[in-house]
Amino acid sequence: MRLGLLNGAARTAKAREATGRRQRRGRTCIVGARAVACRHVPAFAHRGYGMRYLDSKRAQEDGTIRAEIIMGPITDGDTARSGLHYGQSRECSALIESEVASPTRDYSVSIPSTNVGILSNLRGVAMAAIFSANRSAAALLVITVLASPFAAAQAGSSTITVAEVTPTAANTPAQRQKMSQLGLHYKSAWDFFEALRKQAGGGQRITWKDMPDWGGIYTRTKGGTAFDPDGPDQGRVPTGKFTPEYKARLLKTVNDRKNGIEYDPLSQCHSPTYPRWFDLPFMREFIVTPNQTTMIAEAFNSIRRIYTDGRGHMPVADQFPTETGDAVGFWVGDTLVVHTNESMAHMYERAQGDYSDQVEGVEIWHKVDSKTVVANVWIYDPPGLAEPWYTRQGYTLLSNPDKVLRINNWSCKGNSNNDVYETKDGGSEHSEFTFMNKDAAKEKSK
Amino acid sequence: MNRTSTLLSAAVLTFTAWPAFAHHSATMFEPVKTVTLTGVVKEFQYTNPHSWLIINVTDAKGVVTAWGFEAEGPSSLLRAGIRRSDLAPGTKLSITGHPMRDGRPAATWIKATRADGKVFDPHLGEVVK
Repeated sequence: MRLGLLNGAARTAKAREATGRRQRRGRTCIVGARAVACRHVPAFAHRGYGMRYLDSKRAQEDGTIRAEIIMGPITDGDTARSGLHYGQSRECSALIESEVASPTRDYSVSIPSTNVGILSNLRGVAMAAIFSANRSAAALLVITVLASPFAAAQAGSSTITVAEVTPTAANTPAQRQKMSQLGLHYKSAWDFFEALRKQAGGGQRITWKDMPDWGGIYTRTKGGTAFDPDGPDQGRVPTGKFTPEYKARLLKTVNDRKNGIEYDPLSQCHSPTYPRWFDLPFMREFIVTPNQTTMIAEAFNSIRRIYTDGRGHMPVADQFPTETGDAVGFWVGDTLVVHTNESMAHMYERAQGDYSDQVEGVEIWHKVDSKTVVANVWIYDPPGLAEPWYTRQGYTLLSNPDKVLRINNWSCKGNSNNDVYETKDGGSEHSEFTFMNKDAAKEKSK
Repeated sequence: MNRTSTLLSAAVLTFTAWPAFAHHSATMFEPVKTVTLTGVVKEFQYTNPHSWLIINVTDAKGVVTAWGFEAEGPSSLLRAGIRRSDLAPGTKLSITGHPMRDGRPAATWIKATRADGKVFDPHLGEVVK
């Protein structure tokens, strides 16, 4: 069971405590990594509990049902509260799991039977962990009720092997369909990664003797800068299945682009972050060592370090969004399995959709022939994606017979003629050109 | 060589195919129209994130205008076989690109042909063989 902390709600609750406006304490959690925005929904009270559904229509579309349990009196303010958005799943997961293992509080682990019945009637299986601090007069809790397809898939998900998801040279629609469906079996990238690691017995450590040779300079095999190399060209709606909010944003950018309105934060030299890293153009290097694989994209000097020395991610309390995320992995033979989180929110590419800072990915890297390194990639982003976005990212070894190709430090501010600003209507425009100014000056001096 | 010639084409595409740039959108350039100029290389700014080939173009009245042609950075140019020394200052050439929509003398670099007939297409730097 995955549990996610709703930061916004937690902050709201904390603020309320601090201001004394509300007498509530405790943590606000969501079960499952597929959080969605809270909508204004009717509330009702039952034996001191309240329950309301969070965007139940949306939930039925993506296979989950989300409901909020409130222990204590319900007020109009609860239904109007808008802070119940997204969270960092592992923090709350660790909190709940540690409490279950070593309770430090009195637990009230129950959902009123009436409410369970309501949930069952809607769809799915209720999974809830409700707790409250001793000192709390009430605790505000949110639960996500996972619909049966997800719950069933989760139960059988640990049997997946790395071999089943390792890329091959072939790239057929049937394989793509299979990989896409596979992503649906896991509620989060972390669950997927953990299932693979469990089946692999924790994975292997490679040595200097058995490292695969991924040396040389590579570039993206195909796809231009579209995130999905097997999807439509940039400028058309990509293959990812976005949540309504993010889909609306995506469609606007696609339409704006058709009308010549488009802007990219990279123009101001912002980092492309992860997972946009996959579709960056230009040259790349893969440096495999026993304890770390370093993946370098020339553009914006975007360097990923995948730690394969057995370490985990940063402790949840110490995590923060970074430019290329935090990546850990393990080897199975010459296949590298990676989990990445802690990235900054950004866009997959221009008119390709956005992702939040909750974005996470599972990647299976393998060199499928003498000149092609491929990664099967599943991106999970509860706020932005209605379901995991599977893509097959390939990189081809470049011929470099005269050895002139080499990756240099990529200075984004190396030439002021490349300065581009965002226009008032959201478009892009070049700043003044130095070559124009110089010539204008010369003309005047004549 | 001292004449400026401009060719505007108006082909209709099924969707707007803006030139692909990594660092910024190319929507400030015409997606379909092209301009072809003849001139002399003033400077080859072989830089990231984009390179600029600056050429001096002289019109019928003898007025010299510096035009800038934008391409991707050095690694793409090297992959396309375009080295800095190929287009040294003083090199005579004709060059085609998508001009800016606001009328400023700048364009994306589609193809340049040196006086000796050698062609320089920066987009070859994006081809994966």
